[in-house]
Amino acid sequence: MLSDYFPLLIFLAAIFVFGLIALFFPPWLAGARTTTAKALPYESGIVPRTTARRRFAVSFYLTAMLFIIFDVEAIFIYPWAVILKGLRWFGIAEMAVFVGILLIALIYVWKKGALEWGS
Amino acid sequence: MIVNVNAIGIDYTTILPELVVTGTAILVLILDLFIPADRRRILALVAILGLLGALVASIPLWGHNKFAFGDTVVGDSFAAFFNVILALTSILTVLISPRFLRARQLDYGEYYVLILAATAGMMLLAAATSLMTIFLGIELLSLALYVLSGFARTQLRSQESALKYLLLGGFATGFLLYGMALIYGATGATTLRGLALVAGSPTAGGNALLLLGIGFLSVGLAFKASAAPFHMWTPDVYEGAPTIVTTFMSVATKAAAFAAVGRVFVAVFPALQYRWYVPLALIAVFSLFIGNLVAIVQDNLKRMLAYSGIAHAGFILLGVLPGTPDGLASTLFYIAAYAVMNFGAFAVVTSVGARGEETANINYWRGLFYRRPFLATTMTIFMLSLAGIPPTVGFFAKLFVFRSLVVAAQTANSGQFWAPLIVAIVMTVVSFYYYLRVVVVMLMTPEGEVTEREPVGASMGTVLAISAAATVILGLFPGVIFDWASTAAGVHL
Amino acid sequence: MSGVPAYYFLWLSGVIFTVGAVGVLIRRNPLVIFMCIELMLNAVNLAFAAMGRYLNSLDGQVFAFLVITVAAAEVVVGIAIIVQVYRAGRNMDVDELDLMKS
Repeated sequence: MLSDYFPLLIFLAAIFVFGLIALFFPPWLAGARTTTAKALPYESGIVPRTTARRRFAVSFYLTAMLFIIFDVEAIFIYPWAVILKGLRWFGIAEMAVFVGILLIALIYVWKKGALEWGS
Repeated sequence: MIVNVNAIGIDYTTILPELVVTGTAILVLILDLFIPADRRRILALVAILGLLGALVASIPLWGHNKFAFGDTVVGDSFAAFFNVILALTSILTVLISPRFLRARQLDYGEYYVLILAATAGMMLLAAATSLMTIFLGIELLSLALYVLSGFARTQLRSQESALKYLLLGGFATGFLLYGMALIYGATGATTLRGLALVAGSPTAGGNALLLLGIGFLSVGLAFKASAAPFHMWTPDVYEGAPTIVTTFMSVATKAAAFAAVGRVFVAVFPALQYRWYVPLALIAVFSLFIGNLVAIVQDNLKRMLAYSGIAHAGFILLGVLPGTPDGLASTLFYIAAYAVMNFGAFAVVTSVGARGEETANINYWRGLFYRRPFLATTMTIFMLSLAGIPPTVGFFAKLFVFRSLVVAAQTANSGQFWAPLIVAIVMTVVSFYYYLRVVVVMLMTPEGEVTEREPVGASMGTVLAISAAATVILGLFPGVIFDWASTAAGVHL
Repeated sequence: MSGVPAYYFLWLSGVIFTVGAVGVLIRRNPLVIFMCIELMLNAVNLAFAAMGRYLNSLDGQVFAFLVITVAAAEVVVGIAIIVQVYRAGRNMDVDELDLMKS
């Protein structure tokens, strides 16, 4: 029982050792010199002009919120799809009601202008 | 493979009230998109019609015991009793809303949608006979109330109360759900029927997982009912939320939460009463102490009523303690009485403070009898009733609860029921101080000139008159409601 | 997987739940508190799924589905309120939200 996990243990130990080596061996070999260029978020990348910690426009949050709600509600469709054949028309009708309510929500969101970017 | 759909027990009549309210909410949401802003009264009218429909749809449930949808909901007298209380509370709230909302420039159609959604959640909670439906009901009412608390979008105070309610509410939901997970793990059942079978077995009292689960579940429910020591959110949320929302929330949420408490503890776990008695009694005693003692020092009437609500949660819980239908009947009567008198008291605060929040301070109420005699008179009735002074309904509510404890002590022939009873009686006397203080302050001569004479408004006047009349009439004839409560309390699984 | 006993998952979910609950109590940023609440809810999901598997019943998974969707709705309402608080008062520390004191 426990011996089943022995390969896993070796694997974990290997990961741990490799992590330690990768962390401490190169600086020890090459020596550590910090320069401004190295301290940048993206070394050899685009030079940042301002701090990354700034406020986002509310539109991002709004879109994210709407995405989450419509996205997650869709998980009810998966188990429904599995037994749809058995449910027959009853299943179709029930899902029509569910999707219909979601559709009303979408119409509401649309009409309220929440889908307009940055207005 | 054909799934036999009929075997699940699909019966839409058992949840017809919930369906009507939900349908009305969706209808109002659509109507709001197409109705011009100056005709939003129509939305209130539609909401009231829908709630009346739900009220009518609840009546056929009376006297039945119809389980449906795989035993997850039931249509019985218990659900019908709560549906009537909840629907009436919502109707009265919607009646006095348009004027208040316009004065605060909060006149958005979403308000009615959210009130209806919260009501649907509360009704579902009253009819729920499965851990899943209990959870759904609680979340539906909570989510709607989080938004309603923050409905005054530009006021930081309202936003702050919404945030506090949300964070503490989410915390409590976590405990509630973890409790449900443990109960499910211990029993393998999610329906209350299945749970009752397991809980009735002699070994259930030693099942640590089950007991821990019940404990977590109680924490979540006590939070929603704002019983101490899980009441921290109540004063801040009641104070910060728009007063009209507080009016609705203080009455309806408590009723719905105690519906779930009553069903879970009296119908499902009566065999474990010897296990849950002490924790629940402690919650009741804590609520009585904290609610009454802290209410004394409050100068803000909304906060005072919030603490008074915590104290009343303690009184309501007393009736659950014996774990018998007779005790539950007194709890149901108390909830009905509390709904009438507390709704009235908050409605007066709403009316007085229709123009700004500062009016909730007790100094503003000095000499109200001379400025606005109607409001002051109704407030006096509600205060006397909340204090439990005859001949108001509040007196009989307390009397019935106390009596159920005495009866329980005699039948069980054990002294354990005396301690909460004595605390309750002492705290009733303490509560006289802060309720009567309001009356005395209103009687004092006003300082300076009588400044404003604002009319109460027809809808508010009617609602207040109805509440005040009900407080007195139910106090004169408490037998009718108590008979109903006794019938409703006979919950079977 | 079949070799891992159910109570391992229960311990894990208990640990995650505790981390979340402690986080709610000690953190000050509403967004972080909210994330901790989500942690608690996901611990519940894990517990439900593990128990459902252990008991060989589907109820646990159905319950987990409900929790996921309701938690999503709660996230949306929560973020909306947090954004609104920020816009109304520019304040992101719950200790500084003290307009109301008892």
